[in-house]
Amino acid sequence: MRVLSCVCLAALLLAGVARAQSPVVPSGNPQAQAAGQGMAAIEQAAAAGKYLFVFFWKEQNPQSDAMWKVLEATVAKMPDRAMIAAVQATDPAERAIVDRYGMSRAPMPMVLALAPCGAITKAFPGKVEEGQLLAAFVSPCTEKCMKALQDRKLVLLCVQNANANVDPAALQGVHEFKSDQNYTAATEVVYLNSAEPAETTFLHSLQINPQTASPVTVFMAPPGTIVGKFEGRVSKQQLVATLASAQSAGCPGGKCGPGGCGPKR
Amino acid sequence: MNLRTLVWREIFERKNQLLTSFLAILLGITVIVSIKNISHYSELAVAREMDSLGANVLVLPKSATLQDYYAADMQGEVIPEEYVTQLALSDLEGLDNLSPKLSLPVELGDKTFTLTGILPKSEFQAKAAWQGAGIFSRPIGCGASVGMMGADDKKTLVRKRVIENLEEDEVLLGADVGAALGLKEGATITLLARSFKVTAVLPQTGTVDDSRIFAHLHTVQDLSGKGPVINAIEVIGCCQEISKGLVQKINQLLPQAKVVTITQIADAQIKINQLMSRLSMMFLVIIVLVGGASIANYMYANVFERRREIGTLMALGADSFLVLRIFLLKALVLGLVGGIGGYLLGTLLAVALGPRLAGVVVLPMPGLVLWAVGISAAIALIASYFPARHAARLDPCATFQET
Repeated sequence: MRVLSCVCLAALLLAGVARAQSPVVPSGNPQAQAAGQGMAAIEQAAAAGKYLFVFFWKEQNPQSDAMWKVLEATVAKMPDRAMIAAVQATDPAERAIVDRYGMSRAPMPMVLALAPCGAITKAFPGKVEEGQLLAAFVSPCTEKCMKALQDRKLVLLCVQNANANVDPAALQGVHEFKSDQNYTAATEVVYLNSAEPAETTFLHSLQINPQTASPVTVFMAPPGTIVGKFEGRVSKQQLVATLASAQSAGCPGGKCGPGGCGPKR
Repeated sequence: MNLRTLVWREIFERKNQLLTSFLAILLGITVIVSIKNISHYSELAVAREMDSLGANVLVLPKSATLQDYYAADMQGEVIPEEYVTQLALSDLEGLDNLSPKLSLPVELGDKTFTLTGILPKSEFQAKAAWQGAGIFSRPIGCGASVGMMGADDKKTLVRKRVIENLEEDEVLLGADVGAALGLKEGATITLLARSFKVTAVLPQTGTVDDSRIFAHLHTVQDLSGKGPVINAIEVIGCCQEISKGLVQKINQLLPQAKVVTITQIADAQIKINQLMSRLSMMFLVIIVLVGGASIANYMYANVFERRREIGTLMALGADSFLVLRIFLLKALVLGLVGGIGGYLLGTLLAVALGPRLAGVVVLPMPGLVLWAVGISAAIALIASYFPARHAARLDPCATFQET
């Protein structure tokens, strides 16, 4: 019995070493290497224009083993699109990446899907399936929007069909809003060509017809709330009013407060 | 010798018996006033909280009790902080805001306050943006917690339950803490050997939040030495989603925790208030019976023992009405003093014990003095009426014939 236990323990330790060594080899950037293998992997994936799946774990157990296997098998099928990195959250050498994503207090194991631009396109705590990992790949415009929102910025997504007549006047209000010193630093303008096939899914999720000829402006706020959608031209005043309304609303459309879900008094 | 002198002498004639009757009425009024006072402020606090929070959900340790919503995060049991990330990363719709809390008692200026750790929105909202592209397809109105740059008024904590940013060396003071310690914005305080800057003194809420000091959750965790744990997560959820089973979904996501709506907690609180009201009524009945019987007994005994003196008084020219007035005025004085004393003592008890018993700040209610005095005087007068009438109807000749 004791021999069997020793064999099992040795196997577990070896598996742990294998996982620690299995991630991508860091690039030669000494600064990135000093920040740990996780940060180096992020830099390398971004440079290669690939997605990076970062596997965070604290202790080796059946759950983390299963998750790692799914991750490894999925990424192996698409080496030209994605890379993987494993980070032990308790490793002091990986403190930079652990702190950046607040992983010391997160449920483990956890997989973060990072787009080349740095946006986290999906997080998977506890378990993951191949289909879910594939869903983490999003369109370039979605990546840009998510990155800006994760940086706690407002996003003005300007949708126009490049094959139809582009209306520069439709963007005037957006440009005025962006150039306002109150909003400029915290606003990101993203342009989307609705004729681009890669963006069809994103447009559907925004309930915008990809065939539409008229320009549409979508106003988003962190974490991913659509606070307004405007067809045709939109003025800066409209955008300011929409933002003010969204910030003041406690539970829009939720019927909260007295007479809502509270007990009868 | 005028009426006032007669009444005054009559009052102090049998001091021991007087004291017994006075205590009966005083203690009865004290109990009623204190219960009424505490339950009034408890009801107000529940109503105010409901108004300010709307629909709400609490995630608590499994063993937590629901006796008091306000003190729900002050129980000793804890849950892991990672539950916050699990909620933030979940695809549950209708989670508007999350407010995890960890509380511990701290001594400051010879007084004990509650240090409550809170997590600023900026720290968990980033994780809410990791939910993938599906986040964009959510309907407007649910989970529509818009957070971004802009004015960060920390005083909104009392209303919205969350604040945008809070540095690890900053604290927010509840109104009572600020007032008790004379601290204002910009001051520096030392808690558990660590220095903090006061960034705001919060407005009065009438809840235990007034006696709290709010600091960054991770700082409080460090000070407590308990690790990354919390006592509770307050979830501001959309009612539409709550009615569609949000609580059950959170329960499935966090099976090791107890998930309850504020409706349940407020109902429990309202039931406690109703129980206190019923107790108050019960005490009222007891005081009427016991206090009234005690006064009536005292008065009857007094009239019986002093019938010769009453007879002498009447033989000297005092009419029946004067005798009646002497005894009734004596009862009235007893009732008035008992009522006022009971009000003062009851109010003191309510103010002192209210925060501990009901978890709410209790203030004196001047309106109750009329109520207390009225009840007390009425009981004393009614109980004394028949003995007084008996005294007024005494025949002086008959009293002198008795040996």
